[in-house]
Amino acid sequence: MRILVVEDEKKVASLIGVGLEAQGFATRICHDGDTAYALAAEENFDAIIMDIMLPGRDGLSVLRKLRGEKNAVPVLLLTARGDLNERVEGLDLGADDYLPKPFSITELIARLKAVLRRRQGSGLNIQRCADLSLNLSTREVKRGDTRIELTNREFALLECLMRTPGKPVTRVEISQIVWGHQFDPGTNFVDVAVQRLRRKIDEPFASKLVQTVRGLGYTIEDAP
Amino acid sequence: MRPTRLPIRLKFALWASALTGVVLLVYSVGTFINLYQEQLEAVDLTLASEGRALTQALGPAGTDPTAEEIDRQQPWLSFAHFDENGQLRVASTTLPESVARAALSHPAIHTVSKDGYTWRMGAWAQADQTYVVAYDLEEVHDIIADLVLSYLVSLPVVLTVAGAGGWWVSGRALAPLRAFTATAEGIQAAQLDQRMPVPAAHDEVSRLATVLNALFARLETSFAQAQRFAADASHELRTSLTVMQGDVDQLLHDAALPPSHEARLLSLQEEIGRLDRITRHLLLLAKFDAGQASSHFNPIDLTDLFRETAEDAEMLASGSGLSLVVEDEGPVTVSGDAVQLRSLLLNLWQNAARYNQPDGRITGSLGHRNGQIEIRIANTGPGIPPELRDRVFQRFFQADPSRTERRGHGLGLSLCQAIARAHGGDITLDPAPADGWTAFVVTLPGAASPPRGHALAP
Repeated sequence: MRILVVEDEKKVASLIGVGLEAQGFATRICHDGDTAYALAAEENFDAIIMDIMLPGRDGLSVLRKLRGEKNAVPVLLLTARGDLNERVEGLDLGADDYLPKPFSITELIARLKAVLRRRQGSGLNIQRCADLSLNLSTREVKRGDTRIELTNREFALLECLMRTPGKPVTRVEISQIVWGHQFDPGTNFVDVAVQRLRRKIDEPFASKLVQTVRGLGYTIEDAP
Repeated sequence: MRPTRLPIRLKFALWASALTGVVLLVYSVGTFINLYQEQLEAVDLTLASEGRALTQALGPAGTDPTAEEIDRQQPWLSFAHFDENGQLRVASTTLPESVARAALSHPAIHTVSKDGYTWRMGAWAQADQTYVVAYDLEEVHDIIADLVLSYLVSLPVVLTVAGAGGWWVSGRALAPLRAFTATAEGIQAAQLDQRMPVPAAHDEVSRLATVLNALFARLETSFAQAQRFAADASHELRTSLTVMQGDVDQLLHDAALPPSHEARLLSLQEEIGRLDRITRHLLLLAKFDAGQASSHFNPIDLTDLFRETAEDAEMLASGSGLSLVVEDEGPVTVSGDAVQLRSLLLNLWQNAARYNQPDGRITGSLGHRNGQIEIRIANTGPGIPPELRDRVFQRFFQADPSRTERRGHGLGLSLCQAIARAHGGDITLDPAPADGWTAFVVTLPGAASPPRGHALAP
């Protein structure tokens, strides 16, 4: 998979590049809109991750031009403004997803994978860990054949853990991905939320999947 | 308080009227005095010529006319004739002898008042005979009195005309000011590029318009700068936060990370999250200030939003050992921005949990009151001292700055207020909650209560 990363802040760009390469993606990085357009027009990428605010041609304008030329490459927009208008405009122009800064790399990669999955067909929208399955399209959660009803928040929490099975997610990351940094991380609402999730997906079953990583956070993993 | 409640226009009319009155008074008093003096001079001339005529006509040898003949000659004039022995020979019936005799010792023309009559009189001597001529001033007094009367009659009319004139003139003079007020009211934060129309004439009004326009230009500039600051600061801060967060995340997931560093990195991650929240709140407030916050209002199922945030509130509550009771009266729809309204509710829930007491309680309700949607979120706890109640919605307000272990950043409630007001509602601190409780009440404009008992989609 080849990903074009367009980000004028070199540190952010290299951060994304390192994160993507760790996940096995090949990346091409550029720092301005004009180069981005030229690269996207000449070469084939599986997806583009692009900041909206760029020197030269801005991200929205690159997207508009690509879509105007029937180039359907998946585009994930990054923005520092968190501006709803900008987001609406970006999605209207045919962006596949949108992520406000600051974002976690885990989140970015999960969103990128989701975008790629969507493009390849909904069959891949099911995430699994042992006998637990999570269908991102129908929002259906099952262990084996048993359906589990989750609230929106519980679903979001489980989705956040399922993105990187076996790898720990810290409380602050969970707070950011599920609640958008809305609450003071000093309170232990994340632990409460994880306890509730466990009550539904672990307690009735023999094998426990949600593991506590002491001091750090939580992970979802089929414990040996 | 205000020194006066009278509008400028009325004051102007009253002043015009009062000034006209004073001017008229001074003028008429002057006129009366002048007129009286002139009348006296005329009387004196008459007296002198009559006196001379009498002395020549009658002479020492002449025969005195009878009193009746004298009276017939001039109704206002009176005569008296004293002979060489000072005996009264003949006198007008209108002139008492005592008055006439007084002129003998004081022959120059002068004024004498007696028995309600006022005389102007003088004495003229021919040979040994003395003639006294007196003029009854009643006629002069009548003229003056007539004049005073006519002035008094016309005064109210003149004052009314002056007042009306003042009213009209000030109305005309103030018309541009009224136009300015209307224009200035129309110039809101969102349309600061509007300007006052500057009249062509180079007068006070056009100078005022110029000064006001300069003021609006400065306002527009500083608003534009504030907006640009919000956008730039947003970009810079968020980019830096992204870099910091990315590095911390990577380090935390590094298998070779020494355990001693883990706690510090986690704390750093927490602080980055806090910074992100503060940055977002500050920038959203800046946008509200600049009138640039989102106006993407859609119909929103408020009950759904309320229940969803109540689920978070329950996690916050049980995480802090608090109990939570929530109730709503079924589907409520508002036109609004879901992201902002969620932020408002979550802020209130978080405050209710944060400023509570051990084993405390939180209650939340969504319903209708007085034709408005009312959300009420209350908590037990030390509460807000009465003297600080007015300030809770101010930015960076902290009821108890010493409570740093559970610090807020002091922007939450001012943001809640900005959001509620942007939705045509408001947020208030319940002035008289139940004892030991603190309650915030959000009101939003809403249609009449929808039919109850309608099943809600989960």
